[in-house]
Amino acid sequence: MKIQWPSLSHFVKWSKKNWEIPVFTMLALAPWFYPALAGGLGGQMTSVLIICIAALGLNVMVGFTGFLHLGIASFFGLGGLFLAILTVPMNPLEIGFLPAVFVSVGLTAAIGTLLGSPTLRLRGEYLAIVTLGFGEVVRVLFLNLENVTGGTQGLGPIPPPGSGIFVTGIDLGREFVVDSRWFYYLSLIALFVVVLLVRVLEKSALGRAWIAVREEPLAAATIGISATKVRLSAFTIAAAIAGLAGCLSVASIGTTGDPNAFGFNRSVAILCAVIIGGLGSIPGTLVGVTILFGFDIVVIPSVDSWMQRIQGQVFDVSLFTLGSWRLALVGIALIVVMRFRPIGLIPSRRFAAEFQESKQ
Amino acid sequence: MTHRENTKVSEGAVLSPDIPLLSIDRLTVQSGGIPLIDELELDVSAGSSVAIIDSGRGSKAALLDAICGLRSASSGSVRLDGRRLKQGFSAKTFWGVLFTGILVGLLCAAAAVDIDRLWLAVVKRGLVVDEPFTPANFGRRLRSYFRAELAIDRLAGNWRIVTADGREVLAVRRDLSEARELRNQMQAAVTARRTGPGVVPDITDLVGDANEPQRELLLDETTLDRLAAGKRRIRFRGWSAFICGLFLGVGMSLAIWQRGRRSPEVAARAGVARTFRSPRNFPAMTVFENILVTVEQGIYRKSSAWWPHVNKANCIERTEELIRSVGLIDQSFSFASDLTRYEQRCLGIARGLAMDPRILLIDEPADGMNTQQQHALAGILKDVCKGVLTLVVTSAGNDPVALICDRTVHLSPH
Repeated sequence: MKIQWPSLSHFVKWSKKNWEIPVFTMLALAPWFYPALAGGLGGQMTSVLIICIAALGLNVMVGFTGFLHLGIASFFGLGGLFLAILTVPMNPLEIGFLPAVFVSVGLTAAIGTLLGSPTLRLRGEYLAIVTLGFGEVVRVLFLNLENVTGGTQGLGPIPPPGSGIFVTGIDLGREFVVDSRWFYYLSLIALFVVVLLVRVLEKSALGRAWIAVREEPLAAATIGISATKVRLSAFTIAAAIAGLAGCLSVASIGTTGDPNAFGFNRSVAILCAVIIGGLGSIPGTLVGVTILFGFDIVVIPSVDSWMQRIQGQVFDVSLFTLGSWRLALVGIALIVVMRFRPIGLIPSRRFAAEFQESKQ
Repeated sequence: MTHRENTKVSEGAVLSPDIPLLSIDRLTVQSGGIPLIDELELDVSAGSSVAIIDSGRGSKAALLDAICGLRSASSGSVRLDGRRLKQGFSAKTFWGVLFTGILVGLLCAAAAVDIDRLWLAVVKRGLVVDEPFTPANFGRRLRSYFRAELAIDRLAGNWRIVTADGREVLAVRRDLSEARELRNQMQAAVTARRTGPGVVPDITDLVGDANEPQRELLLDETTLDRLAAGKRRIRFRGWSAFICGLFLGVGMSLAIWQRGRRSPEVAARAGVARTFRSPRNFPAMTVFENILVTVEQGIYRKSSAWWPHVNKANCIERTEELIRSVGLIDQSFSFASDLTRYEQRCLGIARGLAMDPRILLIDEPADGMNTQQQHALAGILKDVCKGVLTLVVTSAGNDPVALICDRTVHLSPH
């Protein structure tokens, strides 16, 4: 009997459907082939993965229920703040990392519900304004509640996850500080779990109700879907996922840092990444974040240091840095994508169908 | 078929012959002051079908909208099974409104008593003077903040005696025990001032004479008055903010509840399904998903559980049955936006049926169809609905779909 080996085209077909498995396997194996990930590059990659998680949360809201959400970074910041309050040695609670993550994700979700329940009855643009305002309120509260949040300096130092836990005589917390691969793997696992969660949600009854409300709110109401409740669930889930990303972010940096980082700019950057990648599409979101934030966090610093070396040899001074042109480049990328591929780089099946319908 | 019979039993609807399933009483619907429907009276008994015929455009759709709650009637009522299609004030609503009110009140109170300084007083100061963080200590510091008692704080190695919110420094000492003693004396003075002029503790050490330069002036009369008033001030702020927030929260949530009382979801949950003239399917979902989402909602409608259990296999089976009954089996997995107008209408009817409704309102099924398609639709409706489901069909004239109905009602007399 002749064994029929799967051909390359089979593999391509299979991996199109189950793209997570090859992608996450590659990311998980990357530190073996690329030892630089143990150093500064690992930290940069970790922050890209964390933004991916937050963007997936935003995608639940913007992509699945079709509501513009301009305050995702505030939930990101709230998650981080709760984690910091629960864990820093300045405060008396000092609970462990994992319970702190659970509690802060829960609190962030509760705040999302609180904000959403009166406001989600509003139509499109009005909700966008509410989320925009909430983002600013959170930022200003962070700055002004100095005793709680530490003001502009932020709360810190946040003990790394696993500090105080000894495995064969090695302090796990110290390992997290020394070797950035630990955080890389932690964020990778979190991202994987969130991808699976969002995927399951998309295919569940709740996911179908989200899409129904997005497509035809009137018809959805006449089959008994309460648009407010359904949107509220999406808003809460988005807040919880962004809160998780915030927890990981502050834990990897070690402090909540300047609250201005959780302002409008960050929200819009994440939204841009989701739109470039393709609304409502999980791989699209990941690709969008990787392009936009990977460029910002990973590529630009390394290119700049390389260019500085070259220019330093030739002119003795550094004349040009890519970093100062960062935002212009992002803007041009956005314009180009919107001109030539308005549904995003990897559009979801549904959005492609909808787009075709609106073209007709 | 067994499916539908089961649901009837589970709903427990025992229909007496004298109460019609749907009864419309003196219904008037206006649009911009012009009456679309004027004092309409209509009774539809269970299991029967009615065709509503009117050559005009707006009235029929307005009637169906008024029945299913998309449009509010200016007068008159719509009853299903003798009950109005309006959400009542249940215990759940009451607790929800109360909870929201208390929550908003607490948030307002937290803002009014200055949560930042409260945190400073309760959490940070406990760490400064190195008290163990037990619930008793926590409660004591919380109480002392609301009583506006003096506290001890540290700055640059010195112990400071401060007001509860940390805004005012009253004295600075190098030694902690000395600072504690002084704080207790000062507190006694403030408490005495609060309780009234009758009680005079020995505070000669504290209230110094301003003319004596060598003695440190700790508490003069105005400071003492201000500190004594602090407790009343903070209580007043907290309570007034809480009460304002309570009223605000209760008022807002009652307003939201009132607005949502007569909504399409309420009618749908009571068992009214409708289709639209422009089909209003979900374009970016496949035919299968379009029906599946409705089947699932139909199950949610009949379940009173908070998190209803949905048997996926049953849902899929029912969906396939419905797709087959309207003849869309070949298009199961194509997007609804790719269907022809006739297929879209079939899908709309299938979605209406998928809710497993008690009454199905079909808006102009024959509109824009050729004669053959009209006959096909009439056949479908006859097969799946007739005799089992209560049906209200609107139509522009006596087309085949209207003819399958038990009786016809003409909206306008001319």
